[in-house]
Amino acid sequence: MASTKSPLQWRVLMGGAAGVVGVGVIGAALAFPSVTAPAALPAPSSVSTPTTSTSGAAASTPAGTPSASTPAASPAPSASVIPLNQTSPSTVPSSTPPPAVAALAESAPTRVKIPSIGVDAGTVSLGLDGNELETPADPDVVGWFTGAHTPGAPGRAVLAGHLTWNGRHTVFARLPQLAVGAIVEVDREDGTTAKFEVTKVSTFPKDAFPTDEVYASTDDPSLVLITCGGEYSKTQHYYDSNVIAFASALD
Amino acid sequence: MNRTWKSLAASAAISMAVAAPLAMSTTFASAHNGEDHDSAVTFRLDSMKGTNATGDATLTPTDSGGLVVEIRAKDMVPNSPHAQHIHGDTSGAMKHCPAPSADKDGNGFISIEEGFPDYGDIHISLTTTGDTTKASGLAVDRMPMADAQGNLSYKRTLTAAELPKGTLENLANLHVVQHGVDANDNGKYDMEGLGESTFAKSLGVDGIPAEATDSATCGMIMPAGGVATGGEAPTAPNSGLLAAGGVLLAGGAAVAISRRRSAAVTGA
Repeated sequence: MASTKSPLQWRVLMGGAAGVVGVGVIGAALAFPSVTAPAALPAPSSVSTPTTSTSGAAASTPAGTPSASTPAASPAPSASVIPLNQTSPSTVPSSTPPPAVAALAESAPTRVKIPSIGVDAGTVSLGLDGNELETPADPDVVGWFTGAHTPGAPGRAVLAGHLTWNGRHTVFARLPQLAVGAIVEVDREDGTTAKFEVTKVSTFPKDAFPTDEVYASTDDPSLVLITCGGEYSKTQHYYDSNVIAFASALD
Repeated sequence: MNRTWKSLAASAAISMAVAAPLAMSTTFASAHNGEDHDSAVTFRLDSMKGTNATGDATLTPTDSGGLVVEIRAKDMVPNSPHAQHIHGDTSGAMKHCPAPSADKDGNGFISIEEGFPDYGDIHISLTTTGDTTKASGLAVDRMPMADAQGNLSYKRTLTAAELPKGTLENLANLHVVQHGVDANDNGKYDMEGLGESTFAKSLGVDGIPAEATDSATCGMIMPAGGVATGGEAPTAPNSGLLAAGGVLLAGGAAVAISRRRSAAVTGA
């Protein structure tokens, strides 16, 4: 039988923990990615955009490898030397892959490409607006939610883009036409590209938003893409539904 | 061994008995005017590798800059204290709940050391009473107990002074993590399950079962309601927790969902 521990010893343990965990984190960084509303909107009719804007604090990735992250980089989802998360004390995460598909380490998305619906856009990080998902201030980029996983890492990643903006079509204008089986590619800050296949596209009334399904816990890398849909109220400038595409990682 | 855990359990039970009514009364006093339910955020607590434990956590900001933390979990190790924390940080670093692959030693569970790279350091210790800093991270005599059925219920109002700077602004980068597993299915924490906690040992304390410190559940934040990805430019895209823009559009739905969710949890 192992030795017993009294509550006193636990308190000692706590004291030790205090020493180890050390100084508190200073909230130096800004809370929300600074997404500023555009003062004047350009009005190109094109859906794609060349910009790549990953904003500030939330987008910073650990231990970046010198990456060849040109937007045109060819997909290389499985061959990867991935940097560890910054605080990791251990080494080499690349072995022991129980998932069916090759999972990447967490790394911020930099570009989203969906050839079948003409999307080729930069990204911006999204936090919360109150308790709701923030949306991109720039209607021509795709937002990624920093509170979920990053595309290609094990778990759910959440992307959101505008359908329309002041009457013109924007980055996710054709998301409602996305077909099951379509390919979604996400370039990442670490130079790798995560590749997904669309498994389902559905429309949900905003008052019956499938929160649990969207923010589901998945062992393998998975992706949801969200935009607006349904009926548009001109008086309220408001769509009553969201179109949501679900996608699973490909090798 | 048994006696140890009983005594731990007993002291935890006592502190619960003392603390819970206090926490409740504090919360109740502010319930009518202090809690900003429109800004409540929910975390679904998912099972960590090797466990069946699940739950929900709701964090509700108060008018005075505090945070009401409510947690309900089930299938926890019964009659045992469960260390629980808000992990992550406010530096903008991306932190997440660990995937099963975080189990580097392949013993079927995510230890504290295995989880840290993913879920980050302890930001707030969700004790039942007293100190809530990282120093209380393993203060099991002040951590909530699961009942005989493995259900755990927790509610505490953290004052503004108890919240590390930037907490409310960084909720999206924070996670709720509960600890305490039962690898050998004997209804308690013991050395026979997973051996000794190397984390506790690294702090200079021997003989703590790894079962007591391994991760049971982890929850990432779930934004409420639909997403305003159409129409005109949002009027206040970056105005923080009390932002009006999005709330005006979908606030009703958000509250409804939030209420439905808590009702469901209560019923479970």
